[in-house]
Amino acid sequence: MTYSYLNRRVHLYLGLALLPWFFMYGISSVPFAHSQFFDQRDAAKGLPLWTVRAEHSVDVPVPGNAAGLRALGAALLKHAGVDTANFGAYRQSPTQINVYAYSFWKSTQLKYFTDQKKLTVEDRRFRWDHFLTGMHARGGFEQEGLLQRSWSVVVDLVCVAMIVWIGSGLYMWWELPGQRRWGWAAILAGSISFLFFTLRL
Amino acid sequence: MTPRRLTYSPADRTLVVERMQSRPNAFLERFHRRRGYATGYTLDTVWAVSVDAFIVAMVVWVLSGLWMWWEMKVTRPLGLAALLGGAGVFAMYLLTL
Repeated sequence: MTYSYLNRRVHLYLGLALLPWFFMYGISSVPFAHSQFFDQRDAAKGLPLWTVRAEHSVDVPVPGNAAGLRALGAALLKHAGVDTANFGAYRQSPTQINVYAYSFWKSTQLKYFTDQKKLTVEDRRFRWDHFLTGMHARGGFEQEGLLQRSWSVVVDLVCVAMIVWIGSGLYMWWELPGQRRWGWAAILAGSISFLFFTLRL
Repeated sequence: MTPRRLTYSPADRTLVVERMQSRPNAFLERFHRRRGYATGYTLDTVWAVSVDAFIVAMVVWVLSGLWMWWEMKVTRPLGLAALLGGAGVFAMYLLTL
């Protein structure tokens, strides 16, 4: 087996195996790049994005550190009957704690108003653009579950794969002497444009 | 390259100009998140168009890559295994996460 053969096969099979992620990152970049268009289109429907599902009276102490805040988030989710392993807890203001629970398909937000001892539970209406951007932006290392963290490991793998595709793609191009002239033109044009944007923007 | 933050306080009529400390990870993240259509500046819009071109290129790479793979008959069995394996894992995440 030659290095050239190995390079081509790694490029091919890595690409095929991670194709859903590559495709997802490409398609989901559209709603990120054109968020105003999608927001305006959705606003024209005149539907609220968040709907209040329930309100509870809750009296719990609010911790000062991040770890305590996450524990409080878990307790509030349990109190509200929201079963999820994916969430983040944030201090929205001095008197408000927000807990954002999410899956790829649905999102629920808890708002705990510390001065009123009130907890509201809101569900977000499904939007395809949010579904795609949510998948694109999803991490997972901050979560406790194995499945949640494994998604992040795959995302890391996709990052490495992209670097490998670049390297193996360059090697394959260099092996085709007939394509070198046009290849150089493309690489230089792209690099100069990128450098120009980097320095000017 | 070096973002600045301007804070104007109307009460005492002061303007504070701060320069962000240079950090490679913040630099890369700004690249990743940068849009451009909303600013109204031509150069920003050109950047946004280049981002759109890259999105189209990603989809073209996916489809052309599939086409090139299918043309190499010898790689079809292993390629199909890789494709189905990846799609299966992706579907599993889609249904459970």
